Amino acid sequence: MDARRTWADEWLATLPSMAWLTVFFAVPLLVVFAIAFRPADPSGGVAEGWTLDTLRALDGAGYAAIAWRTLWISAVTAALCLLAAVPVGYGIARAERRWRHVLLLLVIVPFWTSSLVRIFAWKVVLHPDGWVKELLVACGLAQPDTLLLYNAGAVILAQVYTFLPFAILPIYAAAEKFDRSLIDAARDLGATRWQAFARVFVPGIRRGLLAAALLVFIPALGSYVAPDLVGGPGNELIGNKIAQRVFVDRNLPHAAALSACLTLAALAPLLGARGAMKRSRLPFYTILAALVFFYLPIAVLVANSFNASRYGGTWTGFSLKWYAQLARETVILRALANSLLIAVGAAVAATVLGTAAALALHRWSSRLQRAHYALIYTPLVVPEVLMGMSLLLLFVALGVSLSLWTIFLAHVTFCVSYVALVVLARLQDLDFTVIEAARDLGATRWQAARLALLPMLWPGIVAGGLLAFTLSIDDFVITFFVAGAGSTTLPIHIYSMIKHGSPPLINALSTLLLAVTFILVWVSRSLMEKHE
Amino acid sequence: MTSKMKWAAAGAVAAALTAGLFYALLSPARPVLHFYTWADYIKPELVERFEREHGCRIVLDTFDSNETMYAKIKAGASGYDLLTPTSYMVKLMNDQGLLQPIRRDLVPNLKHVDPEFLAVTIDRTMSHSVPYLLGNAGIAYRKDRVEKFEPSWTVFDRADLKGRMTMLNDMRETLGAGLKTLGYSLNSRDERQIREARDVVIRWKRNLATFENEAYKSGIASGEFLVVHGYGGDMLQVQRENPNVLFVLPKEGYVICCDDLVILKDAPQAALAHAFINFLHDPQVAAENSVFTRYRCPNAAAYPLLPEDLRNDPILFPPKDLWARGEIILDLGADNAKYVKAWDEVKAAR
Repeated sequence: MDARRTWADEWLATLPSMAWLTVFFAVPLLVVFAIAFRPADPSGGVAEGWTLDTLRALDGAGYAAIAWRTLWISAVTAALCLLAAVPVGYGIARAERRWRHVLLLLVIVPFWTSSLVRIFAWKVVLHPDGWVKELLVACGLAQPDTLLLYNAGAVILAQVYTFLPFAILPIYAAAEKFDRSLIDAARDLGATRWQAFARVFVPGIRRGLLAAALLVFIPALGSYVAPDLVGGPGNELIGNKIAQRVFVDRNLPHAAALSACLTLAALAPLLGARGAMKRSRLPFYTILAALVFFYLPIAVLVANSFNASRYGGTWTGFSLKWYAQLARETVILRALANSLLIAVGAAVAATVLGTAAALALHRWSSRLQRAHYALIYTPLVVPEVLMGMSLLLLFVALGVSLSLWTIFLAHVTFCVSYVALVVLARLQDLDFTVIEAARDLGATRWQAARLALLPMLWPGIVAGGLLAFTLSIDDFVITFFVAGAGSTTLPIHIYSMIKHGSPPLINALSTLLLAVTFILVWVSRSLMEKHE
Repeated sequence: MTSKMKWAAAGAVAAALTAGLFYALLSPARPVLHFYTWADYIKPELVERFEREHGCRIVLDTFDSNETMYAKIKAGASGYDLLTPTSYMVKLMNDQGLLQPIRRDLVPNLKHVDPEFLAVTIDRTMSHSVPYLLGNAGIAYRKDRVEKFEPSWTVFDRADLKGRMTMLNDMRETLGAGLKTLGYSLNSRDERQIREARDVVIRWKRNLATFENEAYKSGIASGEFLVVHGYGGDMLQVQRENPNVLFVLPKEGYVICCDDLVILKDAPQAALAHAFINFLHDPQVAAENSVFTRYRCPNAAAYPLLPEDLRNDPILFPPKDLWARGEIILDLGADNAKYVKAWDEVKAAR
């Protein structure tokens, strides 16, 4: 291949994601970070002049304790997620072809319902007078006055529950390609089961493991909604603090300074660290356990949708009234339509951009790609509150009126990184000679991509697209900032309902959506079987 | 393309079409009033009635806290006409020049607004805001599970209820409870008083399950929590389902909170917004809305139209001496920082 063609290819693959993230992420974010050097104005704005006072204030307010707590909780979350995700991802990848996508969907579909509603369901499961507690007491594992919630353990549970799919998808994408005969070969050559796993399988999917670790650990550092709901009065994380600074204290400079510190700290691993990984066995049982873990709150949610109680902690009788009421709620139906439209659109666009970005990152190792990687990676770590604020300021500065379009642009921006990292996991050890051979045999660039490259990448693209859809359909914080009048999405409405309204409507809606999804999966699977 | 890719593409197209169809069916064609408010904060039939009478559409968007809404509007988000922030936030928004004056000639029904309530509020002349619904913050408890309950903030000192009580995750509400317990105003600007209140709240914190603004409603209904600090309207709704939940206003004093109707300075449909405010203060409409939301609309002409149980409810209509101990939270401007500091210390304390 001549150098000019590679050069053109590299730019073609790099430019879309790089330009997108520069405009919608890097520039607005740097503007917001610069606010850290401006004095605060008590009305929530920024005063004139420049100052270093905010940075000096950062050694107070117990930040050291909060930072340490955030760090260890996120690290434990990441370790637990990997421990569970390796066997699950591997198990799905090794399942019979026709079951593979069904399993993948079974794992991911619970996450299409509102995370807030699922966390509420966990509270029902872990109720101080509930059956889990009684079971633990009966087994001698808990005292009658032990509290299962409002401690660090509950925060970790909620975090693992939230982030586990982020770990499963890249590991699946990497493991699907892994050649199982390598393990058999190692066993034949005298390796123990464990040796074969540690020496052959783990290195074979190292990119997937790395992506999984990053996709859990980094976003966990900045998260605050779940910790807020199940944590106790002493479990505040850095994400809670940043949200408090923006909304309650109305001190933007302080929030910007905290976020900049967090971002810098999380960029440290980019300077060369490698992920060290854990192990596990028994894929089938862990898939089963993971599914139970995922569907336990879903079961509560479905049960509560038929519960006459508005608050859903206790059973007060069977009722269909929430379904009847749902049919009259045009506000909710419109919010649902908005959410679906955006999630599908953003997932498609982010998948295209992210896949191209992953190809560029994998194929070339130039200085351009190093900058490109930093740009792809940073959105994972920036706290959502700041990202939402920076996008809103960008749209206002450009005179773009807020609408569904601005939500779409914002969602694509935060989804690209996730897709790119998942597809990247898939690309490990990819043999580019096949594509070069195709092109040498006269295939056009497009034909080579479509006929040689895409089929090899497909599981990674599916996993990335699913992740993007999942992130988009449940995003609240960023969406809230960039949503225009008349473009309320389902999570925005749910957050307001949790404060002020009746969550059972959401249980009924989620139950219907889950039912429709499962019917669609089942129908398309039987159609596909016929087709094959 | 492989068959799998075709299926995925077909799936994506089908989903987009469904959503698009939904959207087309539900999207408006008449003049549109954008009402930015809390969820379930207006009776849906009233919205429909106004739409019919004025040949318009009302699009409801929802926010989940005054602070997030303010951060968004302050940063320049526009397109909304009518909002329902809490009065302390109204003051701040007005100071920032975000609101337009109320044109009295367009809202004749303002004559029904309760003067007794206007006397304690911030915008007493209704120059830029009109009170919408009125509530209060106090304590709810399970009468079947808590013995010897006193209507006092000091219930949070009870070690026998450790881990089964919550207070609001709200710096002004919770430090305010501390201030009231000490006999101070909950709008105190005195650093010493705020420090004392901080120490009270730190003492309470050791007995709390958590600071919490959302799940306390389901928590008290299900018995997960036995005593919670929360809002009256919400608690009356819980009580309708579980009569073991009782709500009280603490004897030391409590927060009166009122959400006001305000029109944004750059509202595209200001005239329609005025008409809607007038509609909401029609006594019949106000009464109907109160019955739906279980909040009191401070509309004197609507009170006699309320059903007996609401009219005699001591929470919605506190007796005179208790009413006098309620206070409205004011925005303290630069003195806000004193509360921020105290609240940070509460959160960091062990």
